[in-house]
Amino acid sequence: MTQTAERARTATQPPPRPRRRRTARRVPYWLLAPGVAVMVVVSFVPLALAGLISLSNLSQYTIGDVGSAGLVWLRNYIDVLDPGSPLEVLGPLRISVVYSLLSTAVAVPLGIAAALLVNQRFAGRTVLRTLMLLPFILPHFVTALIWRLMFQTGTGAVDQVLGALGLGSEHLWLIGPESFAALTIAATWSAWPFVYIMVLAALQAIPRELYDSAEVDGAGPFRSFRSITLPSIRATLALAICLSLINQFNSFTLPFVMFGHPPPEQANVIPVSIYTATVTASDYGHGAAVAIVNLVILLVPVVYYLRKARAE
Amino acid sequence: MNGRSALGPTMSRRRFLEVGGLGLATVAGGSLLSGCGGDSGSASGDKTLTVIVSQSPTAPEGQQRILDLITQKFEDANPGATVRFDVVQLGSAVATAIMTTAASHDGPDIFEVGPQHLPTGQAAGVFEPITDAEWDGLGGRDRYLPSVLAAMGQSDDAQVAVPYYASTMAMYYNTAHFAEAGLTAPPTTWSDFIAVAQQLSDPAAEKYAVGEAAAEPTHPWHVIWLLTKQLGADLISADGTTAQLDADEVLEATRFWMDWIAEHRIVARRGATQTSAEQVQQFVNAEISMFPCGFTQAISSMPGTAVADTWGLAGNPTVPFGMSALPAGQPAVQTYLGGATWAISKHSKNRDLALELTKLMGDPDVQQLTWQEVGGLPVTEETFEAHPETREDHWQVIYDAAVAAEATPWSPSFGQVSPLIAEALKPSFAELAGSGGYDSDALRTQLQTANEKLAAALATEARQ
Repeated sequence: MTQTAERARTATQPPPRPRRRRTARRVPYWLLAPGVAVMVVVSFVPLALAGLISLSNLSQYTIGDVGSAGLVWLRNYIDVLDPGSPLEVLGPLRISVVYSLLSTAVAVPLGIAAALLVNQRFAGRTVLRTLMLLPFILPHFVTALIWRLMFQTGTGAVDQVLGALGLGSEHLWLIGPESFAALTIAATWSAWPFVYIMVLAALQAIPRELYDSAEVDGAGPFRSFRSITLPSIRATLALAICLSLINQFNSFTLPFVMFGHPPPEQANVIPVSIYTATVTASDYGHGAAVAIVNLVILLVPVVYYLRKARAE
Repeated sequence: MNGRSALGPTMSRRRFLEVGGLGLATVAGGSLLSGCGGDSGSASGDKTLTVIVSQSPTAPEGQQRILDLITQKFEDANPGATVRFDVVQLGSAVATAIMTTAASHDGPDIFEVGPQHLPTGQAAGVFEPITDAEWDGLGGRDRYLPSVLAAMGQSDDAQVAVPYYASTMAMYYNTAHFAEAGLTAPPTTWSDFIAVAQQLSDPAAEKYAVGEAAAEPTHPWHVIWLLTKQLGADLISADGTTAQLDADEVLEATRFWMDWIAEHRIVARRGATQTSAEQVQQFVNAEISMFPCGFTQAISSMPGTAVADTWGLAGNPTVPFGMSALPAGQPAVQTYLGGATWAISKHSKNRDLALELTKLMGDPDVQQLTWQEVGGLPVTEETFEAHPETREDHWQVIYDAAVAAEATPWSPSFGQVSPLIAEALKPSFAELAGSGGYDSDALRTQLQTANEKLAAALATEARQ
């Protein structure tokens, strides 16, 4: 009886007006609009400009009358990627790739180990967690200055320690072939806390019951790590690796402040090459071409991550 | 109507797209840049001048006193007009502001820049030659030291800036160390320099007479330019079209400099990794006896130190190593001209006021205060008459060097010489610091690579 009355009441109610429905559907778009507008102005317009400039002859000679610059199409890309060209950046490209991979490869296990450590309960855990964040909190400029001082030949802390250990007390960390190692060490030091934060967040989301059940089933710590922890943090870890690679590859402040400009060949990474082309030489066409090459390379880990994320 | 006629008879579709696209970039980029600058120049009718200057690294408070004096003088002389100084902490920020102004056609009215930035500013279309009538308003060209004025433009009648103060390279030496060794005068030839330095050095006891600043980014080109000029060559050809970093004279100059460590053993290996500040610190601690190619600003580091009463200043040696005298007709080059100039933006809407302000910079009280506070050599004759102390004692050496200074090549690409030379020499200095020797063939190859890069820049310049 009651159900019949309800059905009758619903049947007599007028359907919602189509206009109000359409308006309601548009609300989320209007709410998104300011954010999209900011993204367009802050990200997409400069990106489009960089793309356009990379195809042009824009330099100190034409910047006063940009229309006179003219398009050179792919000429700038050929110049920066041709091994025989004086403007090629293949060396910095190789250094950037190797240094980013290496520093991330070292930072990831360090970050995981640190996260596993402070995920346990022990006295002083809060203090240790805070201390571990220090390299992440420090501005890159300060990090670079600290390492610059530590890597001073002979007088720096690194040489002092190595000297005390009998491993030589005068290394050329800042001007010679060892500058690549110096850059990688400093970058690793500033990179691992990011992996640590991400992994710690993922670890705290794993239900305790899983470990209890594993323990009841006779699994040891290593088996629990392999079968519970690792699968649970895999997605977060992939994101952390992806972002860490991007951060390292784009790092400008660290090498620029540590080594000055121009840096030694072994520490001349792509962002510094972009600076050299655009600021030192005021050659915006070639500088933008290098920046776009930089962007395309960075798309590799991004696309890999997105595909993995979608597959999972 | 077909597409061709729509675009006009003389413009192809491809050209239309090129111009249209870059035009769009101009509008968008210009708007962005001017927006980012946030410090646009004075609008028409507004009598406010904006001057962008880089902060003095050694005397920021003294610099502020100078700016206060200029402001007071200007505003007293021009009721209703004001001046605002935009003091930036990085020197490169002024160079960036020049490019921003070029793109946006807006920006500061006046740029305080070193003479080596002037060709770039002119190439970018921000600086333009000061006319004869404008020079008359500034007190005439003969108000300024001729050698300083010569660095202000491509030719004698095309200066794009007004000199503010000068600085030069000179040789600092410890008079007490010289007296102890029985030396009565500083060396005037590079052969004598080596002999004196070896007399004052004892490599076996790790005692080296000469300080070095090879890791200072701008120092290598100062030294190589000077030594190359003394050998009768230059880093870029006189007409500004040919890169010459691979010239025999450049290689000879570079080898001679590196041999101070490798062969003559008058500089410690760690000199290859030192900066100017470390070099000056060694000198004021009396750890070394001399350093050539030191800049005027080092004078302010001497008072109150161990060498306060025992430091001397002399011009850099001028006769190349292995020679007893300069070849006939070869000028005695001691230095190029550093310092500061004021260049008025072509896009300033108050050019007359900007010229008024710039004229004040040459007044004796402003010049004397600049000399006193930031150690800049005055550049107007009237200042030397009103304040003779500004070219007495040590300053006589700076003045003599400035009067005889040679201008660097007037090329917008000259700004690249400094990083290219520093980059080319860095591997050899790393070798020197590590082993005390260097590979001469590798050095030649590095210089050739640097030359190819400079040639590419000059080729771009030539196409414009």
